Amino acid sequence: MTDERVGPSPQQASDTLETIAAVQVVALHRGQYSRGFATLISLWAGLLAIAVGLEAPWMLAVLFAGVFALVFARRRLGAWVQEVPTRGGVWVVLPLGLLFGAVFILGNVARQDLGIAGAPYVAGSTIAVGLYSLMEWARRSRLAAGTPSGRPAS
Amino acid sequence: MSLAGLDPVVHEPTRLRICAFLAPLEEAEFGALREELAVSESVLSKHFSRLEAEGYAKRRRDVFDGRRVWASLTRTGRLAFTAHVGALREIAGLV
Repeated sequence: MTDERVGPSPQQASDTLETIAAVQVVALHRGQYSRGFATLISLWAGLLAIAVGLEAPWMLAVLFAGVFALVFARRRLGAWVQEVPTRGGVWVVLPLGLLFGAVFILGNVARQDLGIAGAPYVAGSTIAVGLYSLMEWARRSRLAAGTPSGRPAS
Repeated sequence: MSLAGLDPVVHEPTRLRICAFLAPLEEAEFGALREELAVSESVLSKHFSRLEAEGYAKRRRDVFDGRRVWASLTRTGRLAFTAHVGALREIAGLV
């Protein structure tokens, strides 16, 4: 880093890049959710899918509990990582979101039309495991990368 | 040496660190920014306001607690920061 009238030398530019990388590592650690949080959110999503599939009267309670947990976690960390930092990431997350939606719908159809009582449980468990795998993969990738380049989200 | 490719707004050391901190994040609370960058509230506010004035950053009040303020980079800010890092990499001979 140098004054604004004269550009940095290669060494100064290199030092600045190191500073940027160090600050970004701090930001990533600050804004990164824990493995426990990923587990809780995945269980919540699975439970919500089961509750909706069973048309359980407690589904709204589950929904609100999860939303409050998300808000609380965000405030406690004081920072939040970009879940989908790149355009390429959208093309990974979007099909997976559709897949989770399809599993959820299949679970409901199987219960209502085919009379398979356990279908929502299977669908909910699949969603929970899938979401946990996705969150844990994203968490580990971010921490391993360490030096994202600040690319725009879209 | 020329400043071609370097963004003079982002280039200032404190603003560069603010951008670097916010770049991998969706948003961060002002308190977290101040704590992690080890700058005073007035210094942070001054430099953040400059980034806001350039359209590089924005702030919002917490929905549940109006005393908490969240900061984030705008799309313009992210692009400017990415371009700035690219220019630095070029100068450093890493490209």
